[in-house]
Amino acid sequence: MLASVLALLLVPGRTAVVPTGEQNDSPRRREVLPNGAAYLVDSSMRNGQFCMTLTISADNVRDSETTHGLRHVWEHFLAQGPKRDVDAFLEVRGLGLSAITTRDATFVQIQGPSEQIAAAFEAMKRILGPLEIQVSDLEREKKIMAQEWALRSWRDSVSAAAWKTAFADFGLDPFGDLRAIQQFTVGDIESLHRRQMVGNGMACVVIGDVDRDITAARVTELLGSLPPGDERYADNEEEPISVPPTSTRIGFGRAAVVSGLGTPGTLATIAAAFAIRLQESSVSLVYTPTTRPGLVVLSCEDMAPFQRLAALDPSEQAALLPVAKRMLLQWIGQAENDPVIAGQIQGIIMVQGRAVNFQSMREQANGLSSDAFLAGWARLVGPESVRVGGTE
Amino acid sequence: MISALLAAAILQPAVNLPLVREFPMPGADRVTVAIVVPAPQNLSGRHLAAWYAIGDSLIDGTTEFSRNAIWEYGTQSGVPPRVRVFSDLIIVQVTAPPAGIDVAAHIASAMVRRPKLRDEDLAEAVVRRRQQSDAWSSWADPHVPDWDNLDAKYIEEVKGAAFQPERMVVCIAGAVPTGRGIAEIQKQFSQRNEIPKARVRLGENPKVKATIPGIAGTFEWTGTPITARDANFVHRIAALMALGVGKEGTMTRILRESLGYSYRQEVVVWPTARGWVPRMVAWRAGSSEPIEELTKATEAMAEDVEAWDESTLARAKVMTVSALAGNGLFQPFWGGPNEVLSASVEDRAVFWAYASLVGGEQLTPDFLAQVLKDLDLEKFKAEGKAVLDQASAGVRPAEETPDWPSNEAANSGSF
Repeated sequence: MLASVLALLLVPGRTAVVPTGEQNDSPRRREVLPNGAAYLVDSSMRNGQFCMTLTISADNVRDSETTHGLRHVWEHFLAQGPKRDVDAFLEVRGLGLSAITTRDATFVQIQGPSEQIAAAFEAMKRILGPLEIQVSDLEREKKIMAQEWALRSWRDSVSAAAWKTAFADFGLDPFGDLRAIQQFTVGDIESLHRRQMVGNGMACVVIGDVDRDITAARVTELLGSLPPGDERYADNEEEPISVPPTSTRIGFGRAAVVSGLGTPGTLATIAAAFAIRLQESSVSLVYTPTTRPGLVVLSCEDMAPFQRLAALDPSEQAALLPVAKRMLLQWIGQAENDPVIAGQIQGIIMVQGRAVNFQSMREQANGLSSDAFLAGWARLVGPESVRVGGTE
Repeated sequence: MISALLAAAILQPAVNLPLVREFPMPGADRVTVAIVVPAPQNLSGRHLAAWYAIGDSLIDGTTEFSRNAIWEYGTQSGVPPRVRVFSDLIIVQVTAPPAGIDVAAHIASAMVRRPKLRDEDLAEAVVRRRQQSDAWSSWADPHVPDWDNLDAKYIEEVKGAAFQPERMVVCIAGAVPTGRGIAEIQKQFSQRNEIPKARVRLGENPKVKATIPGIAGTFEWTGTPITARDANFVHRIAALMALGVGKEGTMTRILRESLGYSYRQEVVVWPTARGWVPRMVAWRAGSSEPIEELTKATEAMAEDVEAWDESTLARAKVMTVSALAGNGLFQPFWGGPNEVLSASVEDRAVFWAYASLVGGEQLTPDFLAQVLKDLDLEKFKAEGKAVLDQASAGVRPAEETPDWPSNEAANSGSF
């Protein structure tokens, strides 16, 4: 499954070991293991539920033209486990598994009642084991990939075009290319699996109504025996490349280049995007959380909303700031309470080795100035925005 | 948690009052008001156009709140007001911080009792609807409104027939002190009827769109509406869970894993004014023999139901409790096209507001536990078989042929 919706939440995260004294009093515990794998256990929730998120970095294994879609196909197999029995094992226990591929990481998440967390660890252990794929399995999955591709909406096309415009080959659509996918072999998938099942670039986040220390010990056991693998290098931190504007058969897009989660410009742009959605309800909004440069993408079937937005007087734009700020704060707050989205954000922050702090996010949102908000608005629909089709 | 979610106070409807339910949710940081308005029966194509235009314009202002005021007051919690428009239901929702329950109740009730419905707002709503061409919306409701012949007369008829308090159901959920939500709604609805009653004249039925925009069409097995008043409701939901929820459901195992027909296949329990309609849908692109494939899939699913065992039953029971408790996992209840109801305060309010329309007040934890205890493997398989036997199976083809971009194998027909 591909992340194609706005799932944007912010997390307190860092990869350094928290001092022992703080850990003793805190419901949270985080650590980087000797093999490079990191984990975070947040036991502060008291609702009888948990979510475990395994995040695996795309650094060093990013798609290229010839491997375009390999990580996505691998995710399909990864999530099923080597014997294709993980879903059956989990669902009868009331647990659910989902998997997502983004440009920067692969996420596998298991959630459900806390009393079943041991089963979740057992499932993750199976997932981390060697793959067992037959040629017929891969051929069937290629057909399924084509069916998945057929479900992509015009919004997906607009978003992919915007990324291509802004970042050229660094912005390859994580879905992949069906022609490249046809060429993949079982060996390709198994090779990628071996390169990914290493400590470096892997993080496990468990959030929920769990025992902190018991859970931390289980995560350590789960990840600690993995080989460290090669050190991961951030290979997509360059400035946007920017190629000529493109277009899609259906739909129009405007997008803002943002530097990543935790930066004031990113938050201001997201706030402006919320305001734009209120102003023009037919406009869709997508941002995939990452601490790396990325895009906040607006898409619409019709050009008229973008033309109206471009013509909006700055005072009219600024009038939307209070509403946008409230929505931004609500959105940040949701991150702390939704273990599924928080798990993804925590995971990406940990594998990317960045320090992003909830509290500072809230402070940034509260202090969002009119100038910053208008600059975010301009990044989205002003002259410097990334454009997919149409002109104002 | 289940008991907390299901604990509810109920105000039975009096004359000119809606049915009101209140669901305090411990720990919630906001309160939300959801109002369900069912459409008048048998809307003509023109009336259906009026229904959509009205629904989409409710948020544009009332006699006492301008559009800007609705946004200003209605976004104090950070969650914007929302109107969901189905072909025969409208659900209005306003969320507020805990102290703003009166404001949320006031705005939401004003939207359904004193909407402004300015001509320019209605016209813009029509323009937006006519441009809508996404596959999920088209799948959700194939009826085509008669936009060309919409005029003020149809707007007035639909408004007067639909927007009467006694036809509505209200749910206040989240951070609401017991009794306070009901009191606020009583206060808001205690005034005289704001919209004169009207009748919807008979007219030409809306046309039905047979195709789906894009390159993927659907195989669908559509059941008859079910309500929580039905004696077998919970058992039927459990069977639907086994058929089409989760990756171990019959649909995924058969349609995806065994036959390789589809990437996405699932049971959708779709809200209508007549009850929840079970819709088993699989998205299929590029089939040259869709009817044969539909038949093959139906037979394979029927065989699978025969093979259900105690493990299947146990899984379905766990999932049924999870779905009705609304914890976000295994949820077949939808709140819009391609929109599974989540565990948010807003979506729980929508679920219970709608459920109240169709007898959901009996779905208490004790009731669930009892009826699920009564469900043995034999009954379970009989329900699963009944779902398939009673369903109307059909194909809605895609409007376009897949071009399978950059893919020679696909173009050669191996897909």
